[in-house]
Amino acid sequence: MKKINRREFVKLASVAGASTFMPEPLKVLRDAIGQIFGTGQHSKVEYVPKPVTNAKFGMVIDLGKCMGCRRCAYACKRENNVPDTISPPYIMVFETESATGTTGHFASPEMMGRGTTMYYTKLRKDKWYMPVQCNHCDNAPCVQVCPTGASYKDPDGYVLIDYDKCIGCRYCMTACPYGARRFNWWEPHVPHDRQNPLVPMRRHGVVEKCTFCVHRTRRGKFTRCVEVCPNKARTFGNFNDPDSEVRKLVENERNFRLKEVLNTGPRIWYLTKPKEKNMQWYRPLPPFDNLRGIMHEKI
Amino acid sequence: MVIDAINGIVRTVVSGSKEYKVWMGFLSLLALVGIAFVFRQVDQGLIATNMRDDVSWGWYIANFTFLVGVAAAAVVLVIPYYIYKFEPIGEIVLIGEIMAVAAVSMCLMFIVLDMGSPERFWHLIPMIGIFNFPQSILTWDVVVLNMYLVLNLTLVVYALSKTYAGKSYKTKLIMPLIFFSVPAAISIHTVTAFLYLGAPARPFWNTAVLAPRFIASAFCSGPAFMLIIFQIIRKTTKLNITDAALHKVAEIVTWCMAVNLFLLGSEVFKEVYSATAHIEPFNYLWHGLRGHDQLVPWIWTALIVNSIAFLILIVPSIRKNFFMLNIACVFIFIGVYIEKGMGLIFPGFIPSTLGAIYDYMPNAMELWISLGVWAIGLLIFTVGAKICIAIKTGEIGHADPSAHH
Repeated sequence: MKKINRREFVKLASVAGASTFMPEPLKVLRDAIGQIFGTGQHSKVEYVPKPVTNAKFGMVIDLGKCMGCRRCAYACKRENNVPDTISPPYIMVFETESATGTTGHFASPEMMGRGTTMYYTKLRKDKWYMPVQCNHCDNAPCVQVCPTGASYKDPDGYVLIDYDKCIGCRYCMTACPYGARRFNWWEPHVPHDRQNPLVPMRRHGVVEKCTFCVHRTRRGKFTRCVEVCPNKARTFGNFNDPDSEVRKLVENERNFRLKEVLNTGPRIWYLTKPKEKNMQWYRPLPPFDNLRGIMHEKI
Repeated sequence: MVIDAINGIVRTVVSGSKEYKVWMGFLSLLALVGIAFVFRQVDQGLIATNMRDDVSWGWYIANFTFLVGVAAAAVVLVIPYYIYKFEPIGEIVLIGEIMAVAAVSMCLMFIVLDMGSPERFWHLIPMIGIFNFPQSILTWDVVVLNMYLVLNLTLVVYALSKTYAGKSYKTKLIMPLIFFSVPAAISIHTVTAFLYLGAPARPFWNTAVLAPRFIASAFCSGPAFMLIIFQIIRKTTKLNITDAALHKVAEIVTWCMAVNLFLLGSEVFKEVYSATAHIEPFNYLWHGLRGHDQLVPWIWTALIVNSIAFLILIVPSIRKNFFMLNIACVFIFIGVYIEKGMGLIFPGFIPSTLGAIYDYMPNAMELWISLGVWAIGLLIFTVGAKICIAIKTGEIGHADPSAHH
């Protein structure tokens, strides 16, 4: 797959910039004209590369290696232009009692509440940590319920959102069993010099979520969370390739998927290997105290 | 003729008793306050509500759900009159249809208020946008609600214009539409129930009993509301609403409340006896979960007032006492209103799919905006009912008030 050269990068950056500073009524008009005449699609194509043929992407997370440091969640926020204010991160990391407990609790629709928390501040070697994000389900309830087709499933495994089509009804958030979707309850603001030009800034009133870093992974790179994990707990790859690392891990190790009973076909597999003996333990980044949508900042 | 009619209608709407003017002024004031708060919500975004990612639907959707029930309840009048030819209800069936129009209008307002990007509603128009039909139940709801609105508007306008001209409106032309309004009314509430119960992620809603319970509770709350309004109308206007008509409606409410309570009992048994992990939202609602119990007083209030109302209604001699009947009606209205909001929408989200508890309650802005929507809906209803009564009693037009149409 091709890498982005400098010229392309500048072009993308200018598209992103123009779109950010366009006044809202003009954006609405542009959306409308684009939708009716099919001309407004160019920015989407550049933000979201074309699906990779004959590929089926997915992720494997080794719970034996995850120490709950939250670096994936923080890096994801930066990578995907998620504001630092009240917008919760795409990735939530839970602390649980045990790996079997993890399987048991997390298999049920109300997995938390029995010794499970997101608000831990110290890491403990007797606990287990589990990151949760969009599972890019093969049989995604959010895609099924979306009234405008804004949420869609691509053949190479991604569940994505067309931010120009989302009307903000939030039915997908009701349908998602993994709490993976985020609504822009207000205009998201990311300082211009910190914006990632490869990822579109979403506007107020639309739903967003983890994209498996589609702007990176379809161009041959790993997702940001895979890159940043200090213990290499995460693996991303093509399940259609019999020699891929993800395929071998899922074939050879004990694993489970979140709430498999709901038959959503999640594309994140969790390995329940014993805890890594000589794992590096890093200082955890602080919990997102605004995570559950309680507003700490005054408007 | 048309200009005469318009003159007559305008005269009817602007003139009236002192109480009528106070009532309209009060509703207009509430509507204006609501609209002022809508400006604030549009300015700040939905962050100004208490809704957050964990509880992403709240008070607006609860009101929407309740009002779909009120709209559907028009068939409680249509069925006895047109299908079983119970003549006394003939005087009020049009008022029921006007109520349906007002209620569906309120539903649509609540939906637009809840949308994050309402200016993009045109994405839901087939051909222009992508209308994800039939996969998304929400698109079904768009179809049936708009269809029901157009259907009832057509029936009301047709019947009133015929009555205005002094003719009978039960023609072969319109009867199929009237019969069609019965399954249409059932469909709006069934589809709205399917909206919730089709989500496997929300075990609290994921029960087949939800749809029949929606219908049963709707056929209590809507007619209960109408029973009170009919008594006001018969005190303040010349429209001849007989006791027989009101008693028939009260009887229907009685049996629908019996079914509603029975279905509630089935749900309670299923949850408590099987006691799976899915019981958590149920526990949160009925006796609190991990120290969070703000919905508990609400749901017990709903259960108690619904049960008292049922006890009042089940004895015919008490039910026929209008004072007791009105108490039962007010209780049912309160009980079902709580059941739809605090008893259904909120606990569907609490605990969240990942088990977090966010104690949602609407804030003042959401309450004022909802009151504003109710005021606009009641304005639509009052104006509609006043025109209808003026035409039916022959104040304007050429109707013969002594004849049944």
